[in-house]
Amino acid sequence: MDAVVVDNLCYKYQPSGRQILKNISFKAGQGEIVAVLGLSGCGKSTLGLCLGGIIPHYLGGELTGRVQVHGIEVKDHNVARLALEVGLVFQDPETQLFLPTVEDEIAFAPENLCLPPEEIGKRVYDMINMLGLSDIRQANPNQLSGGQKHLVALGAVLALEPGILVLDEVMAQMDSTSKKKIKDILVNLRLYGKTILIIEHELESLSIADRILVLEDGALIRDGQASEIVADEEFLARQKLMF
Amino acid sequence: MNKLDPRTKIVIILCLSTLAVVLNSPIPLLVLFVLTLVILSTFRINFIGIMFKFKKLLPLLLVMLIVQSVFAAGGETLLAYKGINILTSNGFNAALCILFRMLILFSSAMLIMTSSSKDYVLALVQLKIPYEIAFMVMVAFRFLPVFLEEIKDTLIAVQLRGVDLKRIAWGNKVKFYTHFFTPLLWSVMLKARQLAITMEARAFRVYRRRTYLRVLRYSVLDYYVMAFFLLTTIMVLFYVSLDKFSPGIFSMTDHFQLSPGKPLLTTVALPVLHCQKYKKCPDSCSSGLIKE
Repeated sequence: MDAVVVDNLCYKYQPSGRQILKNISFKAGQGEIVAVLGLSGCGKSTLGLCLGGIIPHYLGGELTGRVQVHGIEVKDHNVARLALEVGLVFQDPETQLFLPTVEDEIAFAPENLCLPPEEIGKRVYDMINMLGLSDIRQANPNQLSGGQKHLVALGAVLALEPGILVLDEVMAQMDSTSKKKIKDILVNLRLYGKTILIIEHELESLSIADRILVLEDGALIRDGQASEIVADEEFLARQKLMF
Repeated sequence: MNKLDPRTKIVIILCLSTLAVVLNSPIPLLVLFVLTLVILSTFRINFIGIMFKFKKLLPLLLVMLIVQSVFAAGGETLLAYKGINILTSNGFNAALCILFRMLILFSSAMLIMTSSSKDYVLALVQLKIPYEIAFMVMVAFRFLPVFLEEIKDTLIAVQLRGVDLKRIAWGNKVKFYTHFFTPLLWSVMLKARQLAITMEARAFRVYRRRTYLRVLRYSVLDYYVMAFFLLTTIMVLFYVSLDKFSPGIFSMTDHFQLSPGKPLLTTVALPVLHCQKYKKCPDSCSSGLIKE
């Protein structure tokens, strides 16, 4: 079974407004890293919000077509239920961190799952070790650097152990060291069978992707192997995606 | 002392606040205030330093004290102008009471700072408060500084557009505050929505219950401290309730009483307006004041 199925997805924020997503269809298999590439305002983040159920449950709007994650129809389940399947990491870590310590932040999601304290402790320990956050375990997330904040936000989502992970321009404002660290972690997660969707507007951040989806003005204009698309310099230049 | 259970700290704060509200005489309130300062010092809280940060509220406090002292009637006249009492001993007492009461409430609340907000969530949940409400309280505390930061940013944004706040005429101030609060409220609402999305995207409220990484447990010291504060508070409340029947040091009822069935204006205001010199009245006097 495909981890993500998007079929003829169309979306408008307001019924009389502009079409943000136009007939988008694609599938993503288990353990696949799929990158969503496009210029600002092309609908990449909106697509990510549709996968996590933020659209339509929080932001409303007019959504048609089908979005399924692990066989579950997004429209029919609330965001908290969908969070068990899809982990969303947003671009701005400031609004995602609201607890007094890094440890509390990572423990928040497993606590919601009603797990026994020992299991919560194990998940927190695993995440802190995997992301290299041992030194800042008791630190206040507000006082961390931008890169560290992103790592904590990622850890907080990964502690739920979702099968699908959506990263919305997480690497956009990171330095090269932090980017490399995140990429290594994502490659490791793929080995555990996680499906990862990376939303980015820079080609450089997508070196680990298996497949690339290119969006233009809300429409999916290309879906192919990453190596094939990266090699097509003419296409990338035409789409202004090459720097 | 900082390692006390947050629930014990909540009990201490509740006891101190209850006493501050119930006691109605300057001397017991002063004693309670000194006791509160001693408690704060055991928690290593720099009371003076924190108070200094709130120095901008001082004029407000002064206005409150003046209003209290002028409008509380009865007792010896300390200051009069053309036969109208401006300050009486009861007014002075009332002002002192308000001052000490505010200081006690404010300083006892400082104990909150000695534990993390997550600990208070745990404390409230273990006190059987629904976890949604406990998180609401925590998020309110967490976003207070963000809100203040947002106010600063909005003010700077307004000033960068050439608005000099000091030169705005009073008539235009309302217009200015409309422009000031609209983006502020909008930005706070966006942040609140983003936070709600983040919490739910991490499975908040996916089940009716939730578990916690840590569980709070009372130590022996917690039991001793709680017992001390609860017993002391109950004893003082008991004495205060007795004091209603036989006047004593805990209240000012011997100086100032409202009589049932008599209009408030007659009971309080008229003696103040018409009498020049007062002496303490016998218990049978309805207003508590008689003309000499």
